[in-house]
Formats: sequence, C-alpha cells, structure tokens
Amino acid sequence: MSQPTLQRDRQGIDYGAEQNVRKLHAPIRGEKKHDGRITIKPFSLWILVVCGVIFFLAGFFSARHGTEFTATNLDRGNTPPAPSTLQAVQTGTASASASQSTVADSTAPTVRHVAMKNMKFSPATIDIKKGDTVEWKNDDITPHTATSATFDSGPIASDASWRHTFTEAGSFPYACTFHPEMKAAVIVK
Amino acid sequence: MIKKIALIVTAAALAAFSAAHAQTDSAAAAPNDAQIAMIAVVADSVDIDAGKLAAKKSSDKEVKAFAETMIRDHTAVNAKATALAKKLGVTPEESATSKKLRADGDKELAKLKAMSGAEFDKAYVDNEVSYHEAVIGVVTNTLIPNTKNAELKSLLESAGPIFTSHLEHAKQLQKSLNK
Repeated sequence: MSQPTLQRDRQGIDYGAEQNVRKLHAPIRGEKKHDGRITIKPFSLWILVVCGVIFFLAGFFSARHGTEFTATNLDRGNTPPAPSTLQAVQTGTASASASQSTVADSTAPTVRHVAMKNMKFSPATIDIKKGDTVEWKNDDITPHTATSATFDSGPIASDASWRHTFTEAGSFPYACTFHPEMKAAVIVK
Repeated sequence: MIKKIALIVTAAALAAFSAAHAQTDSAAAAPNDAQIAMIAVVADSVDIDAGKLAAKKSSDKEVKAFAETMIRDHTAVNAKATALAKKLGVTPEESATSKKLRADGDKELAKLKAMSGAEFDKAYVDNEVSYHEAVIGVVTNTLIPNTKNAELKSLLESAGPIFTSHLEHAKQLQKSLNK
C-alpha cells in the first residue's frame, strides 16, 4: 500500500491510489456488467407490468359502466341520458348494474340546454332525440331570439329562458333575429 | 465641430420630443372610472340616437331591423352601466373624450338628418361600421386597461362581443347595400 495521501481516508481506502478510485467508480461508469435485468428499487419491472394491466382493466370496465359522463358528452350539452338508455350501453359484462338501470324512470322528459352567451349559441349544434325539449337560456345582457322556420321564441330577455319540444326528427337550423350572425342548429334523431 | 452640432441637434430633438410627449400625455391622460363610465354611456347614447333616426327614416327592412337592434342592445348596456355606477356610488364624469364623442355624434346626426332614401341608408350604415370600429378600439385600448373597478371592467369586457357582433352585422349590411 502506498503512503496514505492527504485526502481523508474513508473505510481504509487509499484515495490516492488510482486503481482504488477506479474500482469505486466502476459501478457509476457502468463498467460492472449487469445480468440484463432492469431493476427499479423497490419494484422490479414485472411488478410494474402487472400493476399496469390491472389499472387498465379497472379503467376499461369502469368506463364502460360510466359512459354517460364522459367529457365529449358533457361538451355537447347533454344532461345524463335517461336511465333507460343505460341498457343499450351495457353489453352484459356488468350484469349487476344493467339490472339496476331498468328500475329507473324512463318517462321523465329530457331537457337539453343551450346558452346564449357572448353573442353565440352554446353549443352551436345540439343532437337530441325526438320528444326532447330544448331550453334556451339568455346569459347575455342584450335580448336574443331563437327563430327558425318551425319555431320562434320571440324576444328572450336577459336571464330569461324559453323551451321548445321537438316532436319531429330532422335538422333545424335557427338564428337570432336581432343578431343574424348568431346561428346554430338542432339535430333531432 | 461636428460633435458640437450633433450634441445641439440631439438636445433640441429630445426637448421637442418630450414637449410633444408631455402634451399628448395631458390630452390623453388615462381616464378614471367615473370618466370611463361616462364614455361608455355617451358611446351608447350616440348610437341609440342614430338608431332612432334610422328606424324612423329608413325604408329598407334590413336597415330598420339593424337600427332597432342598435337601440335595443345599447339601451341594455346603458341600463347595466348606469345601474352599476349607481351601485358603486360613482357619478359618471365628463371628460375631453366623452365631449368629443358626443360632439362628433351630433355632427353625424345632423348630416344624416339632411339625407333620405338610399343615400341615407348607405351613409347610416357606413357610419355605423366606422363608429363601431372606433368604439371597439377605445373600449379595448383605453377603457378596459384603465378600469380599476373589477365589476365595471367585467361589464366593459362583456360589451366587447356585443360591439363586435354589431360591427359584423353592419359590415354585412354594407356589403348588401353596395351591391
């Protein structure tokens, strides 16, 4: 052993000797051969894969049950569909919840909402079912109308609302008679 | 020698610049909330008056409908602005800007009163386009940035889309009248 150097001597290793330093650095520099396993302490890779699969399956099955509340549905101005429509969504995997939905009231009228805000109808296009009612709410300061060939709300004052039930299927473009650039449509299936 | 001339010229330029700047500063000093409220009310009133004239005078159905929308919408905004000012205990205050707005509006009204028929329609709509462009500019660049009160600011911000929709409507009318 060469003379201990001035550097502090930890664990009896002489930091002055180059071989000793290299040996200590080897794991950092990757000189030490791995056996090919990727380990992330404390979990190993296979545990991660198993957890991932479990999460995926959980998400997959819970999403199937809860489709009425997905983001795209909300964006299009849907209120949660009447419970009777849940039956169509269930394909039998979650049979317990399917039987639950038949108990719900399927005769409740569905009211869908369109807001008049910042001189626009939101949503600009709304898809509804025959028999549904659309309620327009004026969230602007100025009066607006919802007027088409087949329906006319007349002036709707600020903060007031107006409803119309659609008994026929079809596409109903409409506009505000006061502000002709405010255009929208109701699609009834 | 040249250095001396350059120095004198620079000093003179700076003096002139700061003098001009000071002048515009005092003329366009940022309005306070009371002045902003008044500017908004006057801007609406000017358009309401023009709209009342057009609703009476015009024989074009579209122009009449547009004029009625102007009356309806600007009255609604005015009502909100006045109610808010009252609630905040702010008395709308005249300023150079509000006086100029009213003076220009009166001038335009006098011009329009002397016209009739298609000439009137065209002049009214052309004026509405440039007027709304100017008002949108004032609201966006002067009023909203300088408003201190949050409720007044939010009212002005909601007026933005209203005036923009008026401008679009007026431009469509302008196109159809110029056919």
